[in-house]
Parts: sequence; structure tokens; C-alpha cells
Amino acid sequence: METRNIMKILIKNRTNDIVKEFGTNYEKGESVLNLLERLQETDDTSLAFLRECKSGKCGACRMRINGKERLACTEEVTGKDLYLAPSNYGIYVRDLLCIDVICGEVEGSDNVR
Amino acid sequence: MLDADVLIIGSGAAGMLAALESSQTAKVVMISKGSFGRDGATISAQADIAVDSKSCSKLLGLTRGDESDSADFFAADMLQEGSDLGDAELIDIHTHSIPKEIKKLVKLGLKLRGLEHNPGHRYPRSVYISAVELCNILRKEISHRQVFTFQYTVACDLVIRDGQVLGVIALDMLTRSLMEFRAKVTVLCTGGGMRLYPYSTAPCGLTGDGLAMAYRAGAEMSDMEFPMFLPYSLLLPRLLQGATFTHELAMLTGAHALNKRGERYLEKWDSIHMERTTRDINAVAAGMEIITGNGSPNGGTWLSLAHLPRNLINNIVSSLPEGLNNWRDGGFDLKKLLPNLSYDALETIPAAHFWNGGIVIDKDCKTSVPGLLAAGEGTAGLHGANRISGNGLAHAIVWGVRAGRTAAKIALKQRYVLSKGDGDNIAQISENVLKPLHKKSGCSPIELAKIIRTKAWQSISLVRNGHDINSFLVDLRGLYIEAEEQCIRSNTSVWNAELLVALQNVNMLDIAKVTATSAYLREESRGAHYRTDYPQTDGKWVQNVVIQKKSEKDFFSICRAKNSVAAKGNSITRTYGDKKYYENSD
Repeated sequence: METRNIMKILIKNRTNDIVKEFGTNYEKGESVLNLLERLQETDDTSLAFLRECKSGKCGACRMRINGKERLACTEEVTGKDLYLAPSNYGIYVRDLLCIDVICGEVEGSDNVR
Repeated sequence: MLDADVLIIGSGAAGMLAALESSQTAKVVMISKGSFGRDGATISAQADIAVDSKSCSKLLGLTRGDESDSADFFAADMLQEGSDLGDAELIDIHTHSIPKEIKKLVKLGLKLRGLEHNPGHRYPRSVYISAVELCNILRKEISHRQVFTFQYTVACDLVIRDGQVLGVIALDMLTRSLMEFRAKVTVLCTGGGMRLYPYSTAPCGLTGDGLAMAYRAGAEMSDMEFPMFLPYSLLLPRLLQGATFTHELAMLTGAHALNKRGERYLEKWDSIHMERTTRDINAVAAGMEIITGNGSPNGGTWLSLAHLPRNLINNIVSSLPEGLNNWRDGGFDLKKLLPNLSYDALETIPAAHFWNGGIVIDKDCKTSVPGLLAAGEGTAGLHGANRISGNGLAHAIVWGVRAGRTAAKIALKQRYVLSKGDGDNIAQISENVLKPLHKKSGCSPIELAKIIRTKAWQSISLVRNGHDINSFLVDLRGLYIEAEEQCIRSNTSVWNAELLVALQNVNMLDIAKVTATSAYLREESRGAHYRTDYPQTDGKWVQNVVIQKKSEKDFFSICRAKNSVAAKGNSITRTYGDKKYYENSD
């Protein structure tokens, strides 16, 4: 069986309403974060998300991927449709962007790592 | 507008330590481009710290420490690995300070593992820590102090009047408004510019903003031709690009680096040490295979463990000091993501890892611009032409503290925050920052960033030659004009990622220009700088290239490195002032 080429990416807000929708090619070996960067480049330059260490350490890119709290940089894209939503932790800003309360412990980081 | 005694830009280890040190007596404001305490390069460091073996065993209580080592021997190794371009005075301070600073961190709860013997060192000196733990500890300490932190606040340019730095204009990413920070003293802890290159092991934010700001403010920049590339960083799969555990594999196992014909190309470069030679030779050797068309299909070279038995590979992986336990690295499940190493080779590439040169500082972290201090990665003097392993975090730790100390002293001595007013450059900065928002048409910042990275990779990365660098310098003129014409498509005021990229592009162009100019001037090969038109190391060139911007023009000077080396028979003596470092070349 051939892998489906076009995948659908649905971006929800905290109350589960769909705010953005994209269709894009599946590229093997990409992370969800790589995919978001690609969408920002080609489809929607206003797309908001955090990206920092890209190596599963800083926790900046945590979000809900298909309903589960995950880091976008360590999660491989499988070719199936993706449902992305902002993390349940931190202050929700826009799209997939959630920011931390300044200083101290990172809220909820243990749940992800 | 916000007044402070000390303004610290950047929240990696250097910035946080400077804040801890200075906040005892001064009012400290910190701004960071990303999430506070997690956005710098510290968190993704490979996390080994070099401390001389004697102090490891005496002061830090680690086993396997060799008491015949000393801080002076460590200094001599640093000078040698940096191909004699390091500043012996700074190196001397560094090697004598690092044990005490680590001890202080241990008291705060940092756990040490060790000791390993890494290439370039004569004694086992590598103490392993967890970089994530270090960040957590420092962040927690700061939360107990009166330090005002602003995250997602991008420093745009230093405010200057009459040659004195008065603070910084920064962009608040959450509101797209410009903020004015004023301080008695400003400390740059912004790290290097590794993200000037498309392949890098550093976090996304490391675009050399601090280096570029200092350069524009007229600070002296030295050794900028020596960005360090970490050989055997992973190229594929995409999500693991820039991962460094493959480098550990290559250094600590009998892994083979292969070109497209399956030849171990290091035979031509160092037939004795092969893949375990120093990082600069490894990177240049791979670079030569890539540019001569002998690389892998995706532009790297191959790294293979397939000649080793499967159970041995498993054993090696689980005993790496990086701790790839159960094949996990950070949050990555390597068993799922990597091919089976018993059968398949990995595609790897030397990726930009560290910025050896940068802003010229003295022993108190003062730059050549009044009111401006700098610390950590992106300051010149310690590493010379090539950094010895374990000195990345160490650089941030020792010099962050020193910068904090100097800043606190200046804050006590100077009574008022200087007022701004006529003759400063605030209006000019604001206009430059917001210009891309008002353009109706022009090039896309994201596209321009890609072009800059591709061109920088072609001309000023692993392997260089005078002709290519020269045409890159010509291309840069065009790219500067395009950067002037950057136009932002999205009009959002909350987190405008394009505006951030547009700002970073200008910074990338500035550091690319300084790097290219320095690389063009250095007509030899040394450390991380390799030129095909001058492949030999030339004794004449024990000199630092220093570049400084004065009234919109670049001035460069080439000055003798601040140490002297005299070879006699089998031994080399390195001196600085009346201090002597002896070393045998056995």
C-alpha cells in the first residue's frame, strides 16, 4: 500500500474550535515542528508557535498533538491527518502559541517529557 | 521606558549567572528573545565541562582525577588547541576560575558525573552535567532574587550617545511594540551566530544578534573567521537534523566515516587517529568530500557502525556519557527513528556548533565600547582558532560571573542612569525595526533568510577559498539592499514571526560580512579555518584579525596574538608576560 501523499492539518484553539486548516504533502522523517515551519513558509506566514532547542529539551514547542500533550519537535509526522491544539499549560496567546509564567519551574513539563 | 542599574541581554548560563552575581547590589533587568532561561544554547549543550584533573579530584571529589595535572597545563592545552591564537591572560584566568565556579554550582544542587578523557586534553578533564538541570537550577535561583525578567523581548539595537552605550531598544513579540531599556551598564550574553548556516546544532534563536549589535555599536570583533563545526552531526531524518549523539558515537567507538565510494576518507588526513582526530580536521575532511562530489546523496557523508556486532553496538550506545539509555536522546525514540545501525550507515554533516571568536573583551569583560560588557560564547580570546572540548559551558559559567561582578562595580560607582535626549540613535533604530511593516512590496524575510544561509554555507563554511569569499562579499552588497526592502505579508501584531526573521536577517548579514572579511584576510589554514588556496598553516599568521566599524566603514587590523610561542627541540614554551607554560610535544 502506498502512503497517502496529501495530509490535512487542523489547528484548534483551547475550546476545540478549528481556527486554521491546511493541506500539505507528507514528507518522510519530518517532525510536527518541521511541518509547521514549512507551513509558515509556504501557506501562512502569520502562523504562531514557539520553537527553540528543537532537540526535545526546552519544552517550548509543547502542544496537543491528536489530543495528547507532546513536544512538536520530537513527534514524527506519520502521513495521517493531524489535529493540533495549544498546550493546556501556560498562557494561551494565539494559534499554537502558549507562553510560560516568567521564571521558576516550568509548568507541566514533566507531563511531556 | 525602564531604568536599571544593569541590563542583561540573553538568558543562557552566562546571562543568568551575571544576573545572580550583580543582583546582590544592583537593580537588574534581563531580556530574552525566547522563553526565559531556556532559549539560549546552554540547554542544548553537550554538557561536558573541562576542569583540570587535579581540581577535579581535590576540590570536586571526582575519582579518576590525575593529580599531576594543573590549571597551567590546562591553559597550555587550550593555547595549543586554539593554534596559538588565544589570549593567554584570559585563558589563565579561565582555567584558574572554573573549579571554584563549578564548586559553587554544586552547592546549588548541580550533580557531576565524570571523569572522561576527551581528545585535545592531556589529562582526563571532562566533567559531565545535565544542561537541562543547570538551566533549572539557575532559573530557580533567579526567581528568588529581585531580577526583572522580560521574555519574548527581542533586543534590536544598542542605544548610543557620544560613543557610550545607554541601553537597548527591544521589540516585544506579544504586542509588537518597541520598548526602551536604560541602564548604567549593558551586558551582552547573546551567544554565537551558528544559525547563519543551514546546518547547525544550536537552537533556532542563535542568529548572532548580540555580535551584530556590538559590531554596529563599533566594538572590536576578533577571530570571527573561526566558527566551529561539529563533525558527524546527524543530517537525516529531518526531525533529528543537528542531533549530536552521532558525534559521540564517532568519537567513542570504532565508527567509520565513509564517502560515496565507501572509502574511509580520513586516511588522507590523519591515517593514525582516523575518525578520532581533532574536530577541525574531521570537519574539513568531510567538507572536502562534499565539495568534490564524493558525499552522500543529501549533501553530507556517511557514518557507519555496520562492521561492529549488533550486541556490541547496543552496549556502546547504552554506555555513552551522553546517556542514550534505551536508545532515547532527549525526547526522541531513536529505535523508531533511526535505521538499524547493524546494517545501515547514517548520513551526517559537520554542523555549526560554536562561535570561537566574537567581541573583544578584557579580563573584566569590558568591550571596546564604554558602557558595554560581553560574556560567554561570542566573545573572543579564549578559544583562538579551535575550541577544545568541554569549554563551551565553562566559557559561559566563568565569564558570566565575571561580567556580573564588573557590572555590579560599575553600577555602584556610577550614580545615575545617563539620560538620553539629543544625539542618540533611538529614532533611527525604531525606523529600521519597523520599516518592513510599512513596505508594500519587496522580498519575503523567510525567503531571504534561506538565501543568506545557502550562500554562507557555500562560501564561508567548512572549506573556503579566496575567490568564493570575495564573490560572497560582492553578493552581500545585493543582499543588504534586499534586506532594506524586506516586506512583511502578515499584519498581525501578536507574535509576528516574519518581523523577527526580518530583524535576524540584518544581524546575519552583519556577522556574515565580518566572518567573510576575516576569512578573506587570513591567507592560511588554521584550526576551524581551511582555505584550499592556502592549505598550509603559516607561522607568520600567529595573529588575530580584528575588525571594527567606525563611522559606517570597516577598519581591520591584524595584530600579534597575545601570547608567544618558542619551540626548542622537542618542547614548546608558551609565555605571556612573565608567566610561562611548558609543554612537551610528545
